[in-house]
Amino acid sequence: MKDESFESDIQADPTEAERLMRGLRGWIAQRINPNERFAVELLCREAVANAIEHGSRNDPSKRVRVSVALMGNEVSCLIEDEGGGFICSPADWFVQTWPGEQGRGITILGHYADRVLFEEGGRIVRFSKRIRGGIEQ
Amino acid sequence: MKGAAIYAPHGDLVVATVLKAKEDIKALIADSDGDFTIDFVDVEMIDSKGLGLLIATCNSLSAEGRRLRITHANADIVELFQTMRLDKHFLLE
Repeated sequence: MKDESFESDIQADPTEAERLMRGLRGWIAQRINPNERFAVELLCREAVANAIEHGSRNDPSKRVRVSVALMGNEVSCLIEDEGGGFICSPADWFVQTWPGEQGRGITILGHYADRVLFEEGGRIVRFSKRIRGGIEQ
Repeated sequence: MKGAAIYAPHGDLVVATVLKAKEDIKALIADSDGDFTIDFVDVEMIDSKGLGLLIATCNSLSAEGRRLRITHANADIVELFQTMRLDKHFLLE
C-alpha cells in the first residue's frame, strides 16, 4: 500500500532542500496525476525556499520540517521552520511588476494553491490544493 | 560579429542551480551578440529564483539592445510565464 504522506526534516540549506525535492518529486509522480504534478512540486519548492531564505535566514543550524499529505482529492502541506518568523505583506500576493527580479514566491503560492495560511508569525505555512482529475491509483 | 549563443541547462532552473546558471549565462552573453537563446529542452521545473534569473538575463540583454529567446519550454512552464506576466518580455518559441 502506498504511503499517503511524505515527511521530512532537513537543515535550512538549499542543497538539502534540493535533495528533499528530488525525493518528493518521486512521491508526487506515484500519487498525483500528470496534469497537477508541476503545480504541487512548485508549491512545495516555494514554501520550502521561503522557510530557508526568509524564515531561517539561510542558517543551516536551523531545521525545516516538511509534511505533505493526501486526503481524498486534496493535497495539503505544512512547512515549519525554527526562524524568527516572516511577515507577509498584502503586496506579496500580487504579480510583481517588471523588471523586478525578486519576490514572486508568495505570488506563486497564492495562484497555485486553493488555501494558504501563515501561522505563528510565519514560522508555519500551510497550504492545500484540490487535485483535478483525482489521485493516481 | 561574435555570433548568437544558446544556453541549454542540463536540468531544472531552481534555487539550487541558479547561481551556476547565472555564471554560465553571463559568460555566454559577454561572448556573443544578437538574440540570446535559453533552450528548455532538459528543464522540467523552474521556481521563483529561476524566474528571477530569466528577468535578470532579459534586463542585461535589453541594456545592449538584445532580446531573450526561450525555446522548448513545456506547457506547465509556459503557463507559469503567463501567470507571472513574463511571457510578453521573452520571445517564446
